[in-house]
Amino acid sequence: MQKPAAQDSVFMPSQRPGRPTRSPRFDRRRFLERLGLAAGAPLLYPVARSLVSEAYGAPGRRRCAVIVVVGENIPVTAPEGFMPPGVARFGGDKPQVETPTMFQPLRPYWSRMVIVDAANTVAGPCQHGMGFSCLSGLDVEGGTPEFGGKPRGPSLDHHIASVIGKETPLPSLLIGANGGGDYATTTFSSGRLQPVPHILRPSIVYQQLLGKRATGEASAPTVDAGAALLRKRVLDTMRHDVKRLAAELAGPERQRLEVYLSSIESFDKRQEEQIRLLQSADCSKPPQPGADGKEGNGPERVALMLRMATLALRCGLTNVVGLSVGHGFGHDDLGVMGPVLPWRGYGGHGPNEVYNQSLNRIYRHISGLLAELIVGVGPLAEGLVMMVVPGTSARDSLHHHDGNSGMALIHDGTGTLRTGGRYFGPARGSRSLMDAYCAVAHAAGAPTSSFGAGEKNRVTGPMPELMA
Amino acid sequence: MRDGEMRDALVSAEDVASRLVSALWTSTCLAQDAGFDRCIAAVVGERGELAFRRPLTQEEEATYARLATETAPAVGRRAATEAAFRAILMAPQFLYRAEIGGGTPDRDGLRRLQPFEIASAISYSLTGGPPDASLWDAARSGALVDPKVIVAHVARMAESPASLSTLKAFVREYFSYDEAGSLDKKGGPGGGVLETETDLVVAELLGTSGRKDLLRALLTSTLVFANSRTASVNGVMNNTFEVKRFVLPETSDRAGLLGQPSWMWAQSQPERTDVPKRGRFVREHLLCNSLPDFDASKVKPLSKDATLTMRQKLTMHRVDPACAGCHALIDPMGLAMEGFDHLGKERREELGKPVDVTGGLVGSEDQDGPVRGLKELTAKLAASRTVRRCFAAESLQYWLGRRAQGGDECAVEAMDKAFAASGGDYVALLQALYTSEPFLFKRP
Repeated sequence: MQKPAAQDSVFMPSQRPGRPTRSPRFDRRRFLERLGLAAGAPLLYPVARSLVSEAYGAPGRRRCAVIVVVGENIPVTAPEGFMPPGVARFGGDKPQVETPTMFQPLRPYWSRMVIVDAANTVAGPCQHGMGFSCLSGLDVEGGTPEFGGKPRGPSLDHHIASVIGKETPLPSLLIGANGGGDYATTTFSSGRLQPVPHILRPSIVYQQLLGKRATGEASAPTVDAGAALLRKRVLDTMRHDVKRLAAELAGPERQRLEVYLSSIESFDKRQEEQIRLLQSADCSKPPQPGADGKEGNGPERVALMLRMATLALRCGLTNVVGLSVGHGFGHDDLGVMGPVLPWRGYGGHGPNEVYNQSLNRIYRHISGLLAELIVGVGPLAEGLVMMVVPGTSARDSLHHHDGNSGMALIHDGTGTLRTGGRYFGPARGSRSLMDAYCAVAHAAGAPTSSFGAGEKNRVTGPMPELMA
Repeated sequence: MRDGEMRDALVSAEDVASRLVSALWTSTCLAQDAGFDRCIAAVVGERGELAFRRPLTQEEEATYARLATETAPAVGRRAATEAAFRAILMAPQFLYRAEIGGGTPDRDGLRRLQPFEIASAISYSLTGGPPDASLWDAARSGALVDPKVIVAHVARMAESPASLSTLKAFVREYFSYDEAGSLDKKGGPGGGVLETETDLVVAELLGTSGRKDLLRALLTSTLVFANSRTASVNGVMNNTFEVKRFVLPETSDRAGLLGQPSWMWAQSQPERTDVPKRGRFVREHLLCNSLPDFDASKVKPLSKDATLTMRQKLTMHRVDPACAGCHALIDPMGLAMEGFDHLGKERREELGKPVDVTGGLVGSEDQDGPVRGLKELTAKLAASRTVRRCFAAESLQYWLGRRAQGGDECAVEAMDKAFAASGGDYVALLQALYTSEPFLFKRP
């Protein structure tokens, strides 16, 4: 009798072979959920889930994402340096290797950045609507945002936070400085007609991050020596068990256990780091809002909140930050960012020298803050920062950018995306900005191929030109 | 593994360990001041074997006991005991079901599963849960190495509700009627409700025929369940909301699970039948016969002429030699099912013309030939040795939880023979599987 060939020796739900090629009808996952579960289902499921997600990124790395929406319009006015001479707008045949003037503070990081320009975002007829639902890719519902319209789907930050936000005390931290109340409730959303307001005041951010510690009702976290000892001993024993079992196995089964072991070790290491950070003066004392209750002008508030967000990311309090700045898709008095700028009044629909100078200063200011954030988060997390400048594809000639929506500026610290200062300009209308969102979500550890699909945008999955 | 998931796992382990130690604290020697070292070793050994589904090795027992005894002076006995169980609950021996085997590998490099490994493999495969007391005892005594003992336990366990539930899930997936619920169609009662009614048919067939001619029953039964919503699709009368059982008359062409509205619904397009899809199902699922590779992107669409019947469109389509090859292998079976529309309703006409249900069985080796309608087709399928053998092969893949591979042929042969010799008793098929070499032997 012929002996059977090699077979699996250890079974976990997500790790069994795929469906038989000859008769691919059985849903192996469902089968294995039934077959492979031990008595520890509550334990096994999280482990199994991770082994699926492992395919999307290296195990054990902590990822974070910062999603910024700046609603001060590049599209109409195209400020200084955004389109250097000689760079083709469409076709991507000539890379933009120089940092646009308006993003100059990000120059040291340009090799890990990419601009996605002239991608479609079609979302209904309203002129400014896309500015406020730009993170969902779906049109607002119930009128324009100025008149109470609400997002029709979850925003990108929420999609990402639903995966990587579960790891932290705060699933995400949503902050902003906007010129009007409606704008503060349309940028971020957890689902259809479920807008999530962002925090506008640094003092509230401070309180949210520190909880009772902010008001002196609780002290900074301390390390319980006994708990630390137990944790270490349990993890040591787990390591020992995994190594012993792996020694009896070969090939793929051994690798599976080694992945499990490396996860344990990585977790252990970061747990130690997090405890150390939370004990450090840096983490227990974030930047404070003004003691007199005055929290500064718009640019100052944005800076303060973003510094708090940096600390939250660095100290593991959250993995996702959303920042909304500006007046939607604005071309008026530059909203809360305006007071320190030379421009006053209505910006109109066309280029204006003073207005453009003001815009440049806004973008330089925000670029500087993002540069600070990139450095501040540091090596503790692989960060992904995306700044979206929304527009509309309403085709009304006044609110679009070459017939498309706005642009996205992406800094990728995960090594997942194709960066290097490359200017990417696809053919007009050939791609949806949602494909770039899918790529960002993928890099952030929350892969999707259909973000923003279901309405007018053609979504095909992570933009291949962006994937490394 | 991500931090959050690792944290979930650790938190779950902490929770379970805490509850377990609470329960053990007063009922065992753990709370006593003296003899903690001996007590923790005994408790870990006793409870650990439930987690690992086998007795702990001496080294394992010592490791977990030592974790507790060495940390107890710093954190207290109770916290130390919880930590020991936390480690057990995060150990791969608990999280994974290991099939490593023991002893010296034979000349082919294979090792036989150990009794406790066999017990877990049978139990999880059949019931989705850990071994019961009787199987555990058989493993502990070493009796499970005897195929006769395995056969007896499989017969006993196959009667359990959990085992029946597993069998139902197999039939659902094998016939793929569970895809109906995910397809929206205009008109008709909805795929989900049709699925549920087919579940009732399967439950009854397994109850009455599980030990006798099961495959024939699945392929030829004239049983349907319907309420007022689904009565017209099933071709029966029921004006009440209550789901009732019907045996279809001889005049109906509906037969077996392929004739269930849920299957027809799942194997059709939203607004029309799909002859190639239905035929392909028969070829691949029931005859275990693959189609040649083809580039799906180059497949030419059928004519959109609304005045042509599906048969006429396919006839035109097959004029192209590039299309004819594959369609000759699948269309005859699908054409025999044209008496059922895309909702699963029996029909006599298409576009005002009588439906032609002339078709055939192709690829069976032993039952090939022309048929008229579904009933004749399913009768041929039920009589086919190829279909029976395919059923055995698919069963092996399902119950082993892996794809078929070289070396499985003998086991499939044995399963097929046992199934045939027993008159279609599914338990006999499983007994043959659980005593086969692919089940009992592993390569280290």
